[in-house]
Amino acid sequence: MRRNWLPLLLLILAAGFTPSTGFASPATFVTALPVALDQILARMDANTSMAASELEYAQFPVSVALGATSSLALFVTFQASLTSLKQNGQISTSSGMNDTLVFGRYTLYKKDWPNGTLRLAPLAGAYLPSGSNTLSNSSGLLAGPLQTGTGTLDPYVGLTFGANTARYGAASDLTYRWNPAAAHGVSPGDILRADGEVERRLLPVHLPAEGLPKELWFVLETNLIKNRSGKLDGRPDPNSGGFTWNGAATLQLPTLRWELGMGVLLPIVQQFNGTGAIRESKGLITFFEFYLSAPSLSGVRRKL
Amino acid sequence: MLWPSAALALPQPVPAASLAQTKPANDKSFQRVTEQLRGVFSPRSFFNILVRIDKLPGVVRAKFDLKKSQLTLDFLPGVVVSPEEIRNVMVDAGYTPGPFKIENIPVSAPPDNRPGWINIKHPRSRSAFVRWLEINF
Repeated sequence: MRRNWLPLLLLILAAGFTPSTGFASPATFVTALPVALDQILARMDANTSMAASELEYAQFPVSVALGATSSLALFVTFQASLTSLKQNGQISTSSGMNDTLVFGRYTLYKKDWPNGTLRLAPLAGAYLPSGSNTLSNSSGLLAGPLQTGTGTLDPYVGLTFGANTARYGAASDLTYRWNPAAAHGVSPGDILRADGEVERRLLPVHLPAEGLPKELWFVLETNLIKNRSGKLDGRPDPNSGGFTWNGAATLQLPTLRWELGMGVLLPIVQQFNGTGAIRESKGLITFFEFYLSAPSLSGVRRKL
Repeated sequence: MLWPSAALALPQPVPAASLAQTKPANDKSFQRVTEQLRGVFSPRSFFNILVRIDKLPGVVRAKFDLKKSQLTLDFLPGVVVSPEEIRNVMVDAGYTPGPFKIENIPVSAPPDNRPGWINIKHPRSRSAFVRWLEINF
């Protein structure tokens, strides 16, 4: 069975979404991060808008992953954000916790060889409604980008793929988030997202014969995001949904116990439904992740 | 093999049956395991393995070689490691086990001071939390 559908999935991933990635360290998505049994991965991101525009933001996602077995990793991502929107001479702001993403990823297929690997892993989970979709001010409900949640439990599924060597790497994911309509407030539509990443080691140019060198990697990423039309107080909202395509370039310093990355996020295409579209400007992305050994329960989990 | 560097300067893999008959280490020698890694491509990948090595009894230090894609483990004198334990390290770390060899090295042999060695902590505190802190920080 696997031989029948695996090439098709690989082809879809390779054809549809620019580059694809292995379990490397993409800056704009966390689904492909590598996690071993009894390992904890903690990652802190800081994403901010760089240029003055109608929409300015600062987002601080914190992701924690645990290797529950050698194949199953559990992820949780909390996010706090601060957003400011300038429209018609008025400035509206919002801040607070966003919806919380919880998902599990199971490595379904892997091919390992010296200094290289290829992985394919489905994932499933949900966004928990820890944010709010009914934030308002004296003028009424705040616009969609200022809301911090959807107000509902949103199922989330996807597939992630990665291939890496000591010099090059690539990763991708394809995810879908169902956003059921809430009776009140702003309800965004479902989100189909495809992320891709390619990376190349810049330094050292040649690996030393012995030991672990300090490395510098250059990473290019792309995010294709299709938002379906949403609803407003339970009624269809024609001025919602659309398509965005972002690109990102980062420099990353990986070590044995931590990794640091910094770069820029560039909106390439922003097409929105209806009128009154709110466009994002370029952003600055920074992340720091570190790895810990978890208390062991492996005697139980190895049997899973 | 998919990768040219698979043909590294590692000794030929030893069949599991013969490994099980390896002469046990005694207090005048220690065991050294040298393994060809598969799927490890960056420093961070080695942490996945380090997490498992931390839980391997008797290992005192580990050598990570990225270019060779090789792991070397030194054990305390008298500690006998089984091939199954070595395989489990890789499986639990999420990698495909590669060929490895187990050698008995005399304690009096010249120390191996090449780059890449990391001392492995084995905290002995009664408190699980303190042990966790010691192993991670």
